[in-house]
Amino acid sequence: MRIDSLTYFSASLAGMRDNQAAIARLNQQIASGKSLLAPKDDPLATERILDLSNRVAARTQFTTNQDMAELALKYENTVVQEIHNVLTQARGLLAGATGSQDTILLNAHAQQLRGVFNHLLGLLNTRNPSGDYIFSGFNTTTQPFANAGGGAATTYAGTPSPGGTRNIEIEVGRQVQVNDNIYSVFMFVDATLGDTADPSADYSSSTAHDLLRNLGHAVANLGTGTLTATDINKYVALVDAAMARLDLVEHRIAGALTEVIDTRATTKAQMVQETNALGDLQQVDQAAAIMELKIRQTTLEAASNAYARTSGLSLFSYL
Amino acid sequence: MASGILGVGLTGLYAAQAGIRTTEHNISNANTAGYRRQEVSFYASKPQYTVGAYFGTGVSIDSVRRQYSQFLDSEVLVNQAQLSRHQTYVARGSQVDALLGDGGSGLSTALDKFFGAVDSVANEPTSNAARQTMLSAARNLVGRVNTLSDKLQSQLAAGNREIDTIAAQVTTYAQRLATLNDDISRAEALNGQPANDLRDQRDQVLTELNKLVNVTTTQQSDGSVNVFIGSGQALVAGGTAARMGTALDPADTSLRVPTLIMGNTTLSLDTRTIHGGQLGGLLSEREEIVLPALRDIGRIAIGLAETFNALHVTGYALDGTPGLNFFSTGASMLRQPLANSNNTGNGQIAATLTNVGQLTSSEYLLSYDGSNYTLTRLSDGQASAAGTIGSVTTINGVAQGFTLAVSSGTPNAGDTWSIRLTQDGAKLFALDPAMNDPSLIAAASQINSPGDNANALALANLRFDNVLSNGTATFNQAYNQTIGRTASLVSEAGWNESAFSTLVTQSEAAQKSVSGVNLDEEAVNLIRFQQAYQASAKAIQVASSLFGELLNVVR
Repeated sequence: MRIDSLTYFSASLAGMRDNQAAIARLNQQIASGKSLLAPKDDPLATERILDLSNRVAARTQFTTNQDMAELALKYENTVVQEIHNVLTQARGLLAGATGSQDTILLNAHAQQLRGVFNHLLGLLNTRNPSGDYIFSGFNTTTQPFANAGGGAATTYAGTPSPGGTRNIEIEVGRQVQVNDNIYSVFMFVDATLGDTADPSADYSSSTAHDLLRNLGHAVANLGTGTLTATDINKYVALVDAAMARLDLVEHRIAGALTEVIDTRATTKAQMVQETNALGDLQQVDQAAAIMELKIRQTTLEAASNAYARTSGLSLFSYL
Repeated sequence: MASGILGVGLTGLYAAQAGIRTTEHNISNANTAGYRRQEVSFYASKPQYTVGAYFGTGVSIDSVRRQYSQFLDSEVLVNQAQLSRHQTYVARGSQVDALLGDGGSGLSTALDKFFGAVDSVANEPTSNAARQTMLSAARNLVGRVNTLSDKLQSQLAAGNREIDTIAAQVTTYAQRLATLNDDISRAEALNGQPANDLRDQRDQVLTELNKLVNVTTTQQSDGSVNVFIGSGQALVAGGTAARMGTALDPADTSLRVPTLIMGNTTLSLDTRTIHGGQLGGLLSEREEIVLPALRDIGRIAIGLAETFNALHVTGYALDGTPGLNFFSTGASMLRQPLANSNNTGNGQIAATLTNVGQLTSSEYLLSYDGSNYTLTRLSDGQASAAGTIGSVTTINGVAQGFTLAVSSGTPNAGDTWSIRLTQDGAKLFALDPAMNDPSLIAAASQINSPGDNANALALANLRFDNVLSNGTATFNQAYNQTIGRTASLVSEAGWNESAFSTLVTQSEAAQKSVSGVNLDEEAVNLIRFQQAYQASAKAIQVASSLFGELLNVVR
């Protein structure tokens, strides 16, 4: 075949250019650690990468949400446990007073019960680290429970029961309740307790039992020795009923915590899989890339050498 | 007889000189672009009948011909036009591809961050920090969308300028071709010999022109060529050249389109007529990549704004006031139908958004035949049944997510309107101006409930809702589809680019194997003609000495 001089001289140029382009690209891949430098390099893999990235981003957010939910639930759990302890103390103090006619002892019980009463009121008005009242439902900026003591009625300024519960999304379509409306634990209707127990109408005349009001009444009257054994039994029964209700809350919290922790394990496992898949798609195989770089280098050198050797050839040199 | 001998030797000398001269011309032009090597053709001169036989009278020069193959030349042209097209397409498309797919400039991470921030507000509805973060993430998202729009718009603007430049270059080339046609036909008519170097020049101009826009030629008997561009639009006829200009696209005044002006007629060119060369690549890339990307992102922005606003206004802010629009309204982001500048009536059409889920990113063409309207979806050519303006926005039984109405004026038969509803969506996407205080985020679904996060949860869940494309795509998926489509188109053009690059290399090698100068070959020719010259000179010397012998005899 006839070949013209221009083609003859520039024939190795294309090879050198291709090798240089390949080396530049390999360098970029090795430096960035990415196999795809632009979506056009592999449109199909790009769509999978984008989809996986979106999923990983969502899962990262869900793990944050799960941490938030866990934090809120654990915080509430601590407070609820303490309320449980306080109620146990109140029950013990009331039960201990039964049949005892020693006014000094009764006064001591009354004093201790006052402390318990104030502690309980404080716990019901607990704020979380962000300054929100945790038992006021959605009215997080308003103190929920107020009781002047001495048998006065309790006022509640939180979201009415059963509303005011907040959810956090811990996975796509899965939400977990992270607070409780505790109103029904301390203000409730319970037919088994009867409605006419207390002659001073502390909790009997209304349709709802008001634990704080009763405890306030007990604090005011325990020291005076005017409370009968029947009265005290009613108080104890009321505390028992409240604790039974609180138990339900504790169980709900425990269940929710388990759900959050289980879900987090799943989320993390899925995230690991997706991150691995993402890595497989995105990351350059360094060893293979460096190997190819070597090969390209050799080819480029060969092409350059070939050019250097052949470009000097010309018949004119021999004339 | 003796003078005959001298004469024959002389023709040999002339021939050798002609050969050497042509060889030198070839050597000198070895690196001239478009030069085709020339060869002298000789023939034996007319013999003379003397002393009972025909005697040769030496050599005559027939012609100097350039070596070329019409077939190989046109192969190179066809391949080169496609190579230029794909090169331009890939170069411009790669910019969009990188812009959309890059983590820094793309929408994907911004969407993820925004919805993550909404989730954080749902986690802590009373936290001012979380609310502030959500506003910042929203501003970032809006900024990304606006920047994407800016970048794509500036590519359109650059495309407009490039079309202007190409049109001016094409016009210059057309004029040079017309001039060369004149020169060639005049030169060749003068003495019937081919005007080799002028023809080389003309071929070279054609090669350059063909890189801008695909060219076909027809050879005329007078040596001139008629030049057609695109699918057969006449650019040069003999010594007359058309002019390529630019005009505003009658369907979209932000775009320029090339036009061909021959005498009083102006022809508008588009991707249907121009498939090759840089111009072909530029027009297709604009139509297949930039504009669809702009409309896709616009649709995502409108969809996000509409659905997010619709939920946000049902909620309550931290202070209990009803939720405001969070983003600009979908209606304010809509590009209204544009009456074609060639319309004879003055009817203006207004579009109203009815359902973002049904909205497509396609361009539509509304036409009026004097009594009925027809709406054609240009992405797939599907058209509505002819009917009233209110009825045409349903195509094949599927509502298109908007309605149309005549807002003013009266349309005439034959009028058309171009409808690109979502094209400005990305540009006009914004936060509602009133949404400047984090406490205004309506996280609560109940009034005066600062701790309520139900609405924030619903807003955060929009991330996973198949809002777009008739309930088949989330915002992220819709964006990923845009990236995927762009990447596929650019990558396909990239394969074509390398395929045509190989084809051009091969066809050029084949062309050059016929037309290119080989210096070694010329060296051999030089020696050949040198020896021929020496031989002829020797012959003259012999003739001269024969003449001397004769004189000696007489003396």
